[in-house]
Amino acid sequence: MGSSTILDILGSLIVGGMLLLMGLRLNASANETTAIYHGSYILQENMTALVQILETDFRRIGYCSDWRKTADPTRSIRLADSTSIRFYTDLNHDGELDSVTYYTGPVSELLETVNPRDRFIYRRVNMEPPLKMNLGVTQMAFRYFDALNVELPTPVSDPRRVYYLHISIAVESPEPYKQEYSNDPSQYEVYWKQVRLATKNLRNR
Amino acid sequence: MGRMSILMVIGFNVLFAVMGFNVSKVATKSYENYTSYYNRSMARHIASSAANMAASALTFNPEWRDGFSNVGFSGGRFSASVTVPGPGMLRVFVTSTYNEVKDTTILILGLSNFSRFAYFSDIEGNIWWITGDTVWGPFHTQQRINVSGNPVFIGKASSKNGIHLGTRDSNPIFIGGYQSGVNLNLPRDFNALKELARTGGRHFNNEDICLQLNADGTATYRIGSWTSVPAYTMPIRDLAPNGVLMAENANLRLKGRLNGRLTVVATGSSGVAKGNVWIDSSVTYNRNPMTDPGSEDMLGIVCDNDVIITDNANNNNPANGVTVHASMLCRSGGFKADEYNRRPVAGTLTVLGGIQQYQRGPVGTFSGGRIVSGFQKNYRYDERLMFSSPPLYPSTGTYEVLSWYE
Repeated sequence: MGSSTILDILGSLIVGGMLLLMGLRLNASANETTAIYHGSYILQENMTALVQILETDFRRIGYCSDWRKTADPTRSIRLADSTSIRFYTDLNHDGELDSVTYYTGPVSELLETVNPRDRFIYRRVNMEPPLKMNLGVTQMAFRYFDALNVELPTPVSDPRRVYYLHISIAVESPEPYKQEYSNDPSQYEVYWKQVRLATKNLRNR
Repeated sequence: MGRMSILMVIGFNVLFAVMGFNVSKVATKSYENYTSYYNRSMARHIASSAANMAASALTFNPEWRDGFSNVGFSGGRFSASVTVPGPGMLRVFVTSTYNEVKDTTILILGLSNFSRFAYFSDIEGNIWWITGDTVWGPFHTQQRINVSGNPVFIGKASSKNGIHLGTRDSNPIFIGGYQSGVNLNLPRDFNALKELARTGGRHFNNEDICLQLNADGTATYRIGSWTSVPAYTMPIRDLAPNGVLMAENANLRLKGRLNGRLTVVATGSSGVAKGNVWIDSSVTYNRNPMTDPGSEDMLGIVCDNDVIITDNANNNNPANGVTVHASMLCRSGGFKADEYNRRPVAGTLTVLGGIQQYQRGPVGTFSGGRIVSGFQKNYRYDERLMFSSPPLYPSTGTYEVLSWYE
């Protein structure tokens, strides 16, 4: 074994080691990217699932397949507060009015998640036990406007005045990568806003 | 050595490709999730737009039944069909597609009646709605709404020519919403009602009719005056089987307590001699819907000219006042009190129903906030009129959306 062979082996070791280090670094980086993308994907899934439920319910405020039961649709909203709302709609398209309530719970209900800001969102139909959704919601806010586009203070004393709704929801990843929330909220937060939701049945008569 | 290098390069390539594929797969899924939401939203918006177009077409032409067939719109397509599920009803069924995502919107529309208006006027003139005024139920005027202060409109309000604010800080409160540019004309005549009265109701020609409504579901009428003989008494369903009683080219005088459903009509040229309905004493329902929500009693008073509270002893007792339970339509006149500025103080004029008139009529005079002659007003809307109307009450000829399913 000559000195050149030893040099070859040492050189190979150095090159191989560098390649190994690069591979490990690449693996870590790829894992992080995949985790962030995956987190973002789950966030979007959560958000679209939630928004789909909300939009379907909210667009049907005041709807009843037996329209005689909503002779005055302006009375469909029964409670209008900044983080909760209760209204009548015909959920099953069966001609019977259902009372639907949305509200958020306190953050103390979700202490087992890493995110200190997330909370349950509740959907209650009639007198049934409320459905709890843990979709990483950190904020669900409602704003209300009258027929002349003037914002109504909450809780709205006379919900019949509500003409438009403004809904905003923020969803954050409950388990972020490395369980840390970076300075870039776009990595762990998505935001959805419905500006001026005018439900068709609320003002049809 | 050379072969190993090639294998190594290939190995790294495969490794990077797998990693890259996995990363891009998640990114693509996120994007697909977004586009899926976007496609669903677009399909819904297209269906909603098509439903609005159909409703608009029906507003401009109530006879429109063509629908839409596979119309391209905003990158998608929609179709709409119009069917008639029952008398005075329409069903608009809309389907839309956007990038193969489908959506549906279903509208139920009903022929609208004037009776659903708590207040309707062709001419507002110099009437101002001021702080303290409250209108219960739907409101419409063919002019502009003159507002000074903060009047409250509980039901949906609309006007043809917008709102006129008398002072800069005037702020009307529209609890039921407000719509400008709505054009609704009072009927040009009552020929259709005349035909209905002739064929399935009761029709009198050139004879003043005095009609007393009885709590037992009958009505007594006399021809000429309250003292005329004979007096005819019969159940309302026999008097006017379809619920319409008309005095053509004559006046109709009315009093009593209605047990049932009836629309009375008086037609004739302008003036006091014809086409007026005189309220000679209170006209009330046997079952008051304010205290008995199951009440089905409903009265329509329709005339060419005025509905007039007669200046007589019955109506001038301040302790009792006068009560009218009815929806009233005055095609070229208004609801008013006879001798409103000369009659004595007559108490409270209570109306439960709605008033649709060409021009508002006076019922009393005031000075310093105190009544000097005639009546103090207490008008309340009969909320049953939102979904029910007196028999064959004149229609606006337009359809209103009763339910919107999406």
